[in-house]
Amino acid sequence: MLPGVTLNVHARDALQNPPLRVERVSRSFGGLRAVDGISFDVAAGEHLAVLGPNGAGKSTLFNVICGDLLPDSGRVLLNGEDVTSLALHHRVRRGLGRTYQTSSVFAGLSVAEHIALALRGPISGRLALSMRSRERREVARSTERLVALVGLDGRSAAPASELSHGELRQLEIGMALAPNPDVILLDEPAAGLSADERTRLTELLLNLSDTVATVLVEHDMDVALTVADRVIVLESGSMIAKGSPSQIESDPLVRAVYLGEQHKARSARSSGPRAELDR
Amino acid sequence: MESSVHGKMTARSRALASLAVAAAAIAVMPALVSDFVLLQIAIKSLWLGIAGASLAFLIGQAGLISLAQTAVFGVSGYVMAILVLDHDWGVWFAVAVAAAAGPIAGLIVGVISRRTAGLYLMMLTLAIGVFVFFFAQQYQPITRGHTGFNGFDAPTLFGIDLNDRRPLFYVTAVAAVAVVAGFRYVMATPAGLAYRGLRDNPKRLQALGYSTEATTVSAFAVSGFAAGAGGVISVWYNGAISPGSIDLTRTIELLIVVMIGGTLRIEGAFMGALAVTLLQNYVSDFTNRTETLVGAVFMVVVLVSRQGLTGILLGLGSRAQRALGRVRSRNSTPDRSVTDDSRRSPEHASRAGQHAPPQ
Repeated sequence: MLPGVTLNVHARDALQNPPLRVERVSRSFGGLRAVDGISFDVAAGEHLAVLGPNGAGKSTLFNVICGDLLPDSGRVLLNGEDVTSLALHHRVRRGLGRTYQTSSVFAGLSVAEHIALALRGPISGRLALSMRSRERREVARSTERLVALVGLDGRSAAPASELSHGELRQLEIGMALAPNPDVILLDEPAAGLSADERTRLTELLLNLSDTVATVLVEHDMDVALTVADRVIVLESGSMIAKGSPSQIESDPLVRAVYLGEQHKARSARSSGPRAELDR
Repeated sequence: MESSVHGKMTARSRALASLAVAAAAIAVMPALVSDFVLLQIAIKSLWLGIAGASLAFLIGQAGLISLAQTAVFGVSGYVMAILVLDHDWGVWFAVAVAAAAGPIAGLIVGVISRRTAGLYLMMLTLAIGVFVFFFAQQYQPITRGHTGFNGFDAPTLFGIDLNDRRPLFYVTAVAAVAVVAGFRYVMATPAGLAYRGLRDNPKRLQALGYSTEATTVSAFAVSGFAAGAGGVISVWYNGAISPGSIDLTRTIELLIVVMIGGTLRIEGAFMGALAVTLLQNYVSDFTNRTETLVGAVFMVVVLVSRQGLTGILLGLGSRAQRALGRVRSRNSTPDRSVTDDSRRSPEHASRAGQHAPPQ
């Protein structure tokens, strides 16, 4: 097969099959329709923010994409492959990475061990009883790079039980990035962070590789609207708006339902760091 | 990078030093202790410790509290006895098959219980243990029922009869060192890291791409190597195996060995085995309620330290290290009252000046 032809086929596939596609996903709990026919694509390198008030269906949608919940109808596709019925670990092996709203780590493992564990998760040989020294060196190098990337340099040997809340959030993102995923789902990564930590997180998210598709569920509007290329807004399980952050900010329905005057006040308070980031 | 190389060398030299100490202790022990101590205390503690190490690994590394390790231990012992005494196999062939039967039995236990954890895992593995016990007791054509197998002669190794105390001690001690080294090796592999992940947070492990079921099965299979080795050596030691060797009392005894020793280190199982063996042998001189006393000691040790004797020793060790560090820093630091102010930051120096006594 000609190399050029192969490249064209791949390019066409990439256009037709975005890293993440959610197709008419619905999920109910008893009589409550938590997610109602939601569809969207996320392209490689794109940051999509999912916004909505409490109970809008963000977490349910997130859990359906991860595989923690099965949808009543609709499909989730990773790189064109239908993964709707696959368990979480199978999705991770197909290029999905995720973080948790409340930091979920391994209390007895060090920072470096967390990253090493995450690095090997999606590859075969994850339960190998031996490791070649070359491989060992590569893991050590990648671990060192990732630890530095998420700003935990000098904390490699620290057990997770000794990390601060902010450091745990950084570790969560490091673990999600470690296996070089195609799609990364971030569940309120800014929850509980100080202003400085939020600024660092925003910078980190803005500097993510341009091949990673990111879905961000976030209550912090400043982080979400700064990082996102595109935003969808949910209300009572339905998508009520989609567009660029500026379109969403000026959408009267979204302002009425979610952003409201609260956001104005918050924007005014945090205009300093945002202006800096917008540069 | 330099520090990691230094760290690796330190770890390696520490391992080599531990190995050297263990080799020296093994070499001199038969000359230092009586035959009774060698047979009744040392050898028994070692094979019981080997079996205990398999459970300590499961609990301490993978967070899997299994009550079926005695069954795995029994499967290996029975396989060897059946092949040699009923099918006239050469003893070393039978040993090889019995050694392989350990991880296979562990794998089967793992497959059956792969979707359970915590209390349900304990209940399921208890059921497996009870099933194996009743199979051994009631399936006479294969297991010889109640009586089991008696009169098993330990094999000869390079012309040395392992029925003799000293050679049996050396072989058992080498097996114990190999089991500890093997488990330490496994802990440093990707699988070892995954086991610890399973212990700490199974759901998160799954979110990193690991199948918790496969990790559980793998941990059970690995632990089966040690349980099988313990089973084989126990038959050499006792010259027999019967349902009584794998009944509920033995299951609880193994659990007590591991909990008294602690699961922070694999070596803890050997400390637990030694403690239980000492109690069983010497307390009977004073009371006929040995098992009650073992139970009381178990309670006291667990109440004092959740990590058993290993936890107590490690705690004492780190306290001693801290105390030593304090003494060293006191000796190396010059008298604070005559510290040169120029070594302090200007801010610090000026603050110190504020509190300086008037000249």
